[in-house]
Amino acid sequence: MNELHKAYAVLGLDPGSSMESIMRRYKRLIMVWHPDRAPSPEHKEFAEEELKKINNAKDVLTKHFGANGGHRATGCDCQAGAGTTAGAGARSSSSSSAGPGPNYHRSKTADEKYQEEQAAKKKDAERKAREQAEANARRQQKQYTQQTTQQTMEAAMQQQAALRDEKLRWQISIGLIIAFVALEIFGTMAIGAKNWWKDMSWKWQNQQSSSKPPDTNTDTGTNTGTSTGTYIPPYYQTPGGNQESWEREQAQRDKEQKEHDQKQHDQDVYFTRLEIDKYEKIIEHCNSELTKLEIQIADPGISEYEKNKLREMRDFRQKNLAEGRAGLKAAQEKLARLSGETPTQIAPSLVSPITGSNTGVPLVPSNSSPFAPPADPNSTLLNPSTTPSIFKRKYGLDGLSTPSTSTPSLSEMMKKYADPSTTTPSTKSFFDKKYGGLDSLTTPSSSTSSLSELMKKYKTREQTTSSPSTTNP
Amino acid sequence: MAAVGIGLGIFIFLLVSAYTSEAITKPDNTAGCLPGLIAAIWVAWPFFHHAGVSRYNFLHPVPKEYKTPIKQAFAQIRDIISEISYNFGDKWHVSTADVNQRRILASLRFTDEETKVEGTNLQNIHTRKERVQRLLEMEVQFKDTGNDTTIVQFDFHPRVEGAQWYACDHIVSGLVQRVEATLGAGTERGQPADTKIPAPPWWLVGLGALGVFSLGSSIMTAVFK
Repeated sequence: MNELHKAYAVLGLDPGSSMESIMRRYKRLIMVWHPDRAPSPEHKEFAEEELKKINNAKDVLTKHFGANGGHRATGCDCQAGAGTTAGAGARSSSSSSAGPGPNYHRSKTADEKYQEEQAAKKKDAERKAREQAEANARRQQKQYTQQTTQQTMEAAMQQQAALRDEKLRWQISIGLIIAFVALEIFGTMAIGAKNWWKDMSWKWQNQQSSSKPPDTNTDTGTNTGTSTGTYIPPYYQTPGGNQESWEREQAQRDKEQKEHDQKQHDQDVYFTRLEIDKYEKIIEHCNSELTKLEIQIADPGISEYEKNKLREMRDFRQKNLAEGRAGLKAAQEKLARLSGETPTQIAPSLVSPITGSNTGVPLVPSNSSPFAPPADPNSTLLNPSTTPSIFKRKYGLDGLSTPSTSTPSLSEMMKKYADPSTTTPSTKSFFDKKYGGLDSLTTPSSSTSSLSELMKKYKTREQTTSSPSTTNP
Repeated sequence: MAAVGIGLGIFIFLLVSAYTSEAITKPDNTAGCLPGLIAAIWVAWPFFHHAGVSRYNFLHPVPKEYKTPIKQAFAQIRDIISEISYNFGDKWHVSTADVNQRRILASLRFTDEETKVEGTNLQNIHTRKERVQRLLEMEVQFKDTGNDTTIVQFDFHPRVEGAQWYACDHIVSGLVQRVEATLGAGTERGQPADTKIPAPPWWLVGLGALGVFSLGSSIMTAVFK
């Protein structure tokens, strides 16, 4: 009888019974042999022993039917006939005598009892170890679950914190963008308003300063706001207005205006003098041209056609001369007006601001640039009626011609030259030097030769002298 | 995207600084520089972020599943890496090709020529070619799905000497294309890095706060001075 058969016997089953029947029988025996059902302590002790046997038997069979128990469908040790004959006898005796259920009157040998106790202790130890292992596994599983849960919670919290952080960053960023744009708009509007206020203040200030200030001597108090009598614009009378700064500003403005006016006046005088100089040069040029034309017209050797052309040229020159005189007169009047004098008070000095002169007080320094600032406008000014021409300055021909009246003819000039009372020494010396002296030619009053002869002689002399001054006396 | 960010940043810098200096803080013509610079950084940052994520996705492509058993896929990719060569016969140096670990480690080192423009003034500008080193490290990981398909993942780590940070890009794209041509078109298993613009980082937020304070102080000075 092997151990499996013993177990079957303990459970009161036939060898080879299935695991299902074993479990059914085991549950029933457990219920029957439960120590709490024992009527007395002795019975209870006995029931405990029986229960241990039942548990051992059940464990043996469970192990046999387990995965590694080696149970086979045929020829297995648990089936009947697999053990020894003694076992079979014992099984039969066991099955006949010790059936399932409490048998308090059955007697056992000491050896059997000892073996059963040892087996029961062993099974108890195994069961306890298994239960301990299961408890440890459960505890580990619980710890693992707790750790996993904690990690999950931490991850969730971290994710939540990250989301909150990202949301906060978005909010701050949007706030910063809005603040940036709002600051730009505010700055633009505030600067615009500030500039508008300054512009309006400036306009009002200009209007107030251009209008005549009220008479502060009669109006003492409200308008001025001060006892000094200085006019103060109304917007400076408000609390905080500074009278001294206003007066200083007003004085500075007046000074600048005065300097500007003076500068403009000096400039006008300077340009007027330039204009006078220009007209004088025109007049001089016209006079010289007219003199030359008169000489050519008076020449009998020139054809009538050429004379007509020369007359047209003379008329044109006379027209230019008249225009030059008119312009000179207007310029002199303008200069007199600028200098505060009447035109008759202007001194007869022919002084050019460009060329300068040694015949009077120069309007500008002789060594100065033509574009240098004008000299003192109160100096001696020009009088067109008494302005000497270039002839006067250069050749001393005072009495030869007066440009303002008419162009004298050559005969008149010659007569004047011949008259010692009218000819100045300088004029005579000029002609003597230039043409070798007209005395050698003839004297108009005494000679019987005609003017044409004189001109022929003059021309021959002129050809001999290759000087350019012969064509432009 | 980075070029767009740079261009847009320059434009915003000029616009904001010019407007702030001319229209608001007129006497102080440099007051708009800092707000303009910070505004430019704010505008350019999303483009730089997008460019960075795109670059990451390029160097670390999404794993793809190929309809090839893992042994064949491993062998084919190993062959490709061994066979392929570049300009002057440069080849991949395979340091690890472990079937059990299912990964391949290889590196490619080669020398390249880079043209540099030099000169101290406009009359002295000239170009100079210099040789620079390139190093591209690659890691290929394989995963068996059990259905006679293989998931292959590439990771590239370029190290470039010089200014041309994109010097190894053609090698990366060429290798990936060649693998796809050999193993067939694969299906992506995973999601690439998201190019969605996240919240601005704290350093950018701080910089923006600095710009707002600077602009505010300049405006207040200009308005209430």
